[in-house]
Amino acid sequence: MRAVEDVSITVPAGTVTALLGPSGCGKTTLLRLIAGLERPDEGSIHTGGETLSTSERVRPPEKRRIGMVFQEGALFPHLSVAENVAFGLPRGPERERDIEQALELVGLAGMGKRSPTSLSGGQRQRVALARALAPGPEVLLLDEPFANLDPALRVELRTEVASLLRTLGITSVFVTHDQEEAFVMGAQVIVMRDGRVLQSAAPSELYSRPANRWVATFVGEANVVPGQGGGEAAETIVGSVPLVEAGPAMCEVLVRPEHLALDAGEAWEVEQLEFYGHDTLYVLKDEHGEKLMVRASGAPRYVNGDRTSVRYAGPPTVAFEA
Amino acid sequence: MVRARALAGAARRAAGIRGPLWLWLAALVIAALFAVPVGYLVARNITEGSETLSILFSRDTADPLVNTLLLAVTVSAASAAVGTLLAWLTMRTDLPLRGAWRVIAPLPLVLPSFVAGAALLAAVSPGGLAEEVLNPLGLDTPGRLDGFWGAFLVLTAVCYPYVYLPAAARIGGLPPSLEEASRLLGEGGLGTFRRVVWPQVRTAVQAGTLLVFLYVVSDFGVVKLMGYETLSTNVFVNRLYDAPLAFSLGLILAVVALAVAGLERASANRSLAQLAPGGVRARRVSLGAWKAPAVLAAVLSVGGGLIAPVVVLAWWAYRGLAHTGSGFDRTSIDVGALGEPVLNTVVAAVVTAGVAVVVVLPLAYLTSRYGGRAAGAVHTIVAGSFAVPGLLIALAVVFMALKVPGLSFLYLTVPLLIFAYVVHFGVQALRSAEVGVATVDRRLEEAAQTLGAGRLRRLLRIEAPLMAPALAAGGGLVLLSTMKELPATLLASPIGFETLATRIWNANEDGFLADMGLASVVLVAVSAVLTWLLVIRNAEHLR
Repeated sequence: MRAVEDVSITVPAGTVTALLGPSGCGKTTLLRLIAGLERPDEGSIHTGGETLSTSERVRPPEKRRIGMVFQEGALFPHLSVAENVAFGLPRGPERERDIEQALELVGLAGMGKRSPTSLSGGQRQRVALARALAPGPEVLLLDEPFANLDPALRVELRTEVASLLRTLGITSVFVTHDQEEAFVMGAQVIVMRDGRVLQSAAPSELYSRPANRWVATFVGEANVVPGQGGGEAAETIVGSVPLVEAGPAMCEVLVRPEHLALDAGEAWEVEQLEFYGHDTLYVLKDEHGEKLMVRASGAPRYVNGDRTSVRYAGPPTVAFEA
Repeated sequence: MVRARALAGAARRAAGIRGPLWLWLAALVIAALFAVPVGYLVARNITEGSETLSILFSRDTADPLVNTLLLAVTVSAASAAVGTLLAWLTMRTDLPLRGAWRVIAPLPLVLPSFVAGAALLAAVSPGGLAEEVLNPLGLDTPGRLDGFWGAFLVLTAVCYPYVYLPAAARIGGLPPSLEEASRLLGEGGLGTFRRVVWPQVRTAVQAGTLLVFLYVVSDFGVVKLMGYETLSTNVFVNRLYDAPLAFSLGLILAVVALAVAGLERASANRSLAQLAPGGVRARRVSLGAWKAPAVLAAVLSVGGGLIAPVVVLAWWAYRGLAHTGSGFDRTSIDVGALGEPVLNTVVAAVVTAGVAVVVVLPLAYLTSRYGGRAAGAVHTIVAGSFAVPGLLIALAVVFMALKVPGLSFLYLTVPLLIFAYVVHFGVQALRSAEVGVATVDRRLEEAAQTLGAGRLRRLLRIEAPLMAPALAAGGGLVLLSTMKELPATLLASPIGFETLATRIWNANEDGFLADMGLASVVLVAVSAVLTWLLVIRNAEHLR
């Protein structure tokens, strides 16, 4: 079995690209191919004009100037924080200063003497980042660096890392299975499944114009409803829905839950509701058993069993071949 | 700009199954060297031809074979019983001073069996401790305990820790919830042990018992002291004037050892090995009226295996030191004469440990990183060389140096002795080295690679420091075993090269009991320090 099949991606210099996909989709393998930790059977990898890997020749990882942050940090347990950061730095008078700068960058100034085992999970990932950045790599790879942190810390750290990477303007590739993380971090998001790339786009475009039904449901919540039309709009169970481009006559239309509005009516019954504080998610059911998710701002205005009607209140959306 | 194009199936293969060619070449050469002594043993028997067959079925063979098996089976059974009982008592009952017993119970490991045997005999010899203590009380010195019973008692007393250690670790690691469930279902303390604990502990006890069996069949010192004829004493005695007989008996001995080791491996139920860890404090079985007998059993086991021999030896050493300088008096001690054996012992053991650690490293990389059937075979060869008695390894290499053209420059030299040690004890270093290699997370190496470190720098900065504790532990175990090894040392040492073990042996043979006592106390003290550092302190059952 091949972990990655017929994949072609391009990462623009100076920006962050997120590789997004469910576990086992090949995103980590792709990252390791870029790092030179694995050899491609076919194909090639380049930075700028330089060829790094082909199926015949793989430039070893230590000769690539590619930095990597591993899932659980992979800090050297027998070396201090400073020695970890210094590992990739050349010997010389500037070494001490470079270590201190790198630690300052990740908010750990003065922690150089500590042992990695005495650090919290978040601090370890900061050291791992400092260590990868210190030698000044051309490309930075991050393999699910926040996966093992608790949720609050994960959000805090990813915001910080995202702004740091943007400030430094370093070309980065970031692997995650978390859609939210991919959207926050990536200027470009590449969605992978079963070793193939399904779509590569900016987060907003990925959300509003997913390439197929699978991407639509993987990236955020989605209703996919049957539709008819062939023109600028499709007729669906929630009425007429505008399309960004003319779809096929028989189609499936993407309807995001937050693009639906509730009105007085009888067609739908409220089957279930979840109140999230800033908004409420309703699950509705019609007489045929069709279900629909609707997200409305504010507190619930209905209770289970109430009847209502639904209309589309969003921007033009996409339709897929049925 | 990065472009990753058409990257088809880079695959797990790269992290994969096969190892680099140079590693395989190194491993093959090393494995071949490990196989040399046993190979020579077999080859000698084949070239002797028909004679081997007639020896196999003669009375000369049958008696020592039966004696060997009888002793090995009884000592194994007794050690299994004592070791398991002690493990259960210290881990799962309200035995008083449990914490202290956990530390004390494995201590007989520090005594080489021949030292314990010599101590027993020295205690009842004229001028010994027994006479000194009993005669003023109007009691007679007890008779000399020897033959089968003498060997049985001494070997059981020093061998039970081989069962105790794995059994205690296993019992300590069992989730207490299993026993609690059994108690809630109405089973009593003993019933719970029999139906719930024992089936889980069996594999550990079995593995420990195998070590006891191998120890007993390879033992030379105790059986020789006790005048009990076994295969090993016959091999030793016959090697000079009837080499074909010695080699035939040696082959039988090797076959017995390897067959039992193979059987144990085949029957071990390893599926139980991966259970949920214990962690929670276990309920203690209340011993009630059995408390006093339990304490007595513990005192007798540890007392017989450790305290009594050490007291006897210290007594002789003390007597000798108190009488220094009285010329031909056999109870006096020439302390200065101990210097050379100590130096020889340390040098031989340290060099052996160092060589063993370096030599097994490629094998450890192969077995724990790349695995596979071929790597398993390499491991089996090294492990098998441990099952074969050291006496036979030494016999084979000494005769090889003597008979094989071009090797005579090695005959009775220190390098040859060290080669025999390394082959015999190499597996102890190999197991530790495998653990060491496995502890180096491959991602650490990959991280070092992405930071620009080449192969050599990774080895020196990442792998070596991380593996160091495991390698040191493995080297330490080899060091300990080498220091205590008697028969191989007697057989393969250069003439005039005396170690502590051979010094103790020769002093005892010649009746210099004070000399023997002091040399033994030194050996036991050094071995105690090493055993504490390497075995007992790290024992899982203390946690």
